[in-house]
Amino acid sequence: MLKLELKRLFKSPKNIGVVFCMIVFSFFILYQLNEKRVEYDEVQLKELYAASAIAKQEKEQLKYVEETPEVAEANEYWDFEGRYASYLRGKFNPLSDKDIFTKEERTTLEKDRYRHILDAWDKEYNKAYLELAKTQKELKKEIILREYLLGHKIEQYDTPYEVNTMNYLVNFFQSPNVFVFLILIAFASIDVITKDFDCDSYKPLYTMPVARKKIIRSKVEAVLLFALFAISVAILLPSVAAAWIGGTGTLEYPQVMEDFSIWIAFDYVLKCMLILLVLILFTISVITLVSVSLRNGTSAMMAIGSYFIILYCMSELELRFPNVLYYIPLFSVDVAYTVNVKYFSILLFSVCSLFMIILSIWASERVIETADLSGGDA
Amino acid sequence: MLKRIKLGILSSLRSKTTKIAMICVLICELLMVFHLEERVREEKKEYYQKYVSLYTKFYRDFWYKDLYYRNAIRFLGFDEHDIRRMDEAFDYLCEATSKAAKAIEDEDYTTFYRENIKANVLLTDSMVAQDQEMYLETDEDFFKNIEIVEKIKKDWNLPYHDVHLGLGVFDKFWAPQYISQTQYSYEMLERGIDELYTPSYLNGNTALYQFIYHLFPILVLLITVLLYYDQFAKEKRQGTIKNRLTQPNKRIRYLMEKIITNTATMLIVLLLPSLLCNLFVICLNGFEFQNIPILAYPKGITSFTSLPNNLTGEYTPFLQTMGLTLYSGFPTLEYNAPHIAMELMDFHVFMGYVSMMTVLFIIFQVLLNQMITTMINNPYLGMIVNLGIGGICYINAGITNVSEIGMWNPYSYANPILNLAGTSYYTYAEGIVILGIYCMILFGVTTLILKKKDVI
Repeated sequence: MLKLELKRLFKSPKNIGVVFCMIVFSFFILYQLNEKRVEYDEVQLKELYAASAIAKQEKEQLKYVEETPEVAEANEYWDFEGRYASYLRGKFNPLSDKDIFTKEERTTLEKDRYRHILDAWDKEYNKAYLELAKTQKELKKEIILREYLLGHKIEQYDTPYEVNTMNYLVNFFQSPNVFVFLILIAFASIDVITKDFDCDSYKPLYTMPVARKKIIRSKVEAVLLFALFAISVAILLPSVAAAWIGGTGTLEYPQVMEDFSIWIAFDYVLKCMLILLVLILFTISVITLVSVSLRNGTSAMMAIGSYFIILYCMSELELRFPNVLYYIPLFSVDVAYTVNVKYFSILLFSVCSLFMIILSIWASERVIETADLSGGDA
Repeated sequence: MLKRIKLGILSSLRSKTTKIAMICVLICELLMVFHLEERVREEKKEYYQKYVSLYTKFYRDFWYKDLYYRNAIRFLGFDEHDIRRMDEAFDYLCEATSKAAKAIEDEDYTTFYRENIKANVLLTDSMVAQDQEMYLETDEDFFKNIEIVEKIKKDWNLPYHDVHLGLGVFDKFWAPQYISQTQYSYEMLERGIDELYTPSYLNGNTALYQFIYHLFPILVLLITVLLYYDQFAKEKRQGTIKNRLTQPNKRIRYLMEKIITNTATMLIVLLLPSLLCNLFVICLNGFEFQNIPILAYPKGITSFTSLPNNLTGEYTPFLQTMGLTLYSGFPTLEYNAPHIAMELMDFHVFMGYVSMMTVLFIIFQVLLNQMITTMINNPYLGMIVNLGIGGICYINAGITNVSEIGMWNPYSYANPILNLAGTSYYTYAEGIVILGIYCMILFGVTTLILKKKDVI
């Protein structure tokens, strides 16, 4: 049964299209990563010039008043910005053949700069934070990241968007495409059960001398295997491409979470993969339950569509607690505030998924016996 | 034909799919209600905090602590008389804003509006004084609005402060803020409304507004596609299309029936849960008919001239840093009017215009879906194409999109509130005309395909 279902899934043009779409989306993340890397240097340079210009202006204004601690602090601030801007000018000037600072010195300088802005956050004269467009929390994260890098002697990436395998995987799990993947898997697996009812082939199928729970179980297993295959291919191919472009990256590179704890990249990716698998299981169990209950392709599509619409609306309305999406690190590490309850959520979703699959099998025993011949709404 | 449409609507409403769609809309709306209830509390608190920090603290500190006080004497040649006048003005401002902040805390909104007018009239005076000295780029709208403020000042016998308080921060960019705050507060007092309408405020009056503002654009796209993605495939499968198209009627009639039935069903699917939700809100908050004023861009109803507002362009990062997410017709303390040309409009008139465009957008969405399902036989492929077109256009119709080509993107008009309120770069008139043109084109193309194609 399983083999037959798998064959059916892999032969369907719709499902081949789904796998293709997933691969395209994954490669798109890689492409975006590269684009961001190029943009980052320019934006950073622009921001720093603006910040240093403001600092310089403040310094000019303060020149006319008597020496106070505030004046001294402003001068010091200007020194930071000025030195940093000089460093970047050196880095980006094609005529310059050497960097002013080493990578370690750069990390230290950046850490000091962010620390300085954070300390001067409430002071009126320091308007630089407006130009940086970073919140206090983000600044704190930047500082923690650099402290960790210096403490563990890890070399800082030139930009947060370096193209290598580990960085690609981290960015992959932070992108909204994970949600798109779930929708695509739902789209591929939605008609596995309902197609039999739509084509009226359910009668010969369920009158075969095979236990009904075995039929449903094999369908669920086939969908799961298909989803695993699709996800693996969609992640592996761009990872290999990223390794070819920029190497595998540093496994120990830190990721600062919402609660300011640090997860190393490898650990982070592994946990994300685990959560993604549980979410796939959860989505498939919802689809199975809906398909068995409704026994009609259009209605099942509407119901699953509604499920995703409600999830999306929850995200738009910033409702986090009941929202499955917030249990995966969507959009950015910031949003994954549920990091502390992730282990609980993994357990919760696994139990819920298994319960729903068992419920679907039980329902198939009851519902299909009483199924009317029309097979759903007219 | 009418009988067929009636039967079609009834059969759609009886189907499981439509019921699921209605439940989906209802759940989304209830989620919105609970979310907004929470947000209103936060917004009122934020309003109070901003009032205290922005007016009472920031401006005062800016003047005294930030060394400009000394610089004004040293470099700008201010004498003691000027400084005294500025001190008096700041005292007046601080007194008014402190009272207003306390009124928000006490939920005495009549006092709040009164004190708000006093504070904003002073700031408007400062703007005029600055305009005389520094020759800001003022226009017809600026002076027209200043006249309204002058009238309020005359009615209330408010003093004139001939000082310009600003050294850098009070520029033309802030002018709409002061003027609209003054006008809005005055209107609220005139109408005797003792309530603070924040952007997320939810009661019996504003439930439909909030639904259109928050959920309508995305729901209409997804639900239309999910409801009708297999309308032809299903009829083919069941064999009913053969009977329908072999009857001695033109195919265009069949198409018209389909469009009217689908549009009516979509309206019911969206409106019935809204009605239920409205009743729920009324039970929760009570109902009182309040004809509140709302900021809008009335010129946009008849004009094709786009309104450059300060949500776009160079100020955007600044605004985002300061915590702005989206402009709404209900004024917030900061950045409530993107442009000086904004005027107050009756809420019910505003909603009347919005409803018209909402219906037009639903018709457009139904027609687009109809064309794609007629063109593509495979329902799944049709659905993907439909979602793909809709999704790409929807993503590209961002609020900060000011490109000329964006005018032709139908999803720039998916949220009519933004168009009428002047937040979007594209005007209401453009929306009506362009959606109308698209509807005609889609209808024509679908008729042509149905005529030529052997759908049976």
